[in-house]
Amino acid sequence: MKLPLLFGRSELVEGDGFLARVHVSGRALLTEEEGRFWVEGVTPGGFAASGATSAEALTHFCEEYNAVLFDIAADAPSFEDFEAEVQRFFNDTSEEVLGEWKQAVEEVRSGTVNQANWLKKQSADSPVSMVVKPIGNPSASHNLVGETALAA
Amino acid sequence: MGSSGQVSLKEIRKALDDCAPGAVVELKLHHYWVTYSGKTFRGLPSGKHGKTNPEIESGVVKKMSRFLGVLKCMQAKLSI
Repeated sequence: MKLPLLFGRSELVEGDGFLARVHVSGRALLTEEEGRFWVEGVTPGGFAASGATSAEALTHFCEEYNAVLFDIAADAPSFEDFEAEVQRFFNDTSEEVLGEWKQAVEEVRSGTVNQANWLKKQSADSPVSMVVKPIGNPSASHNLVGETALAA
Repeated sequence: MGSSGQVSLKEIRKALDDCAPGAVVELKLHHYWVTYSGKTFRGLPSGKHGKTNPEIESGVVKKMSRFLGVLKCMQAKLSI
């Protein structure tokens, strides 16, 4: 089983002397390997998480994503350095994994995938991005709820 | 063992020496980052006990190896 996912997250990250909002619209690949579920980052890439169920793997994936942002924040002496490293993270994509993600999208579009009824569908052509903004004036209007969808 | 076992960081470093010469392994707050050939895998858990030689889920090592483009070589060295 390979499911191409689109995920959106909006995190508030503290660094030394700055507060930043990190909003990502990204791609991930959910697979089942030897009875264990894996979610692998595609865009951004370079991290992955597993679980006994697809829901558990997704939960761990979101935790790993946050932890990578915290790693970056811990090393960033300024907001500008944090923003630059987050962009490097976002641009670190494996062509091989991206190819698998695109192939999985084609399988979804062909109608042969039936293990994804729990996910809403979203166009696989949706733009991906990662935006980092400094938070100077905290506002409830900045809050966004994250979501995960099947790329179709 | 397959991808359900664990591999120590020491074993990973040794395999990287052969499969990804010049790879840089850096300890961050929550992970080890591995940089090779212009790519950085940021998701090797640093572990909770000591952090000097954590045992890492072999499936994560497999994902890292594929991401860095050295999977076949790493599979020949490690049970991943």
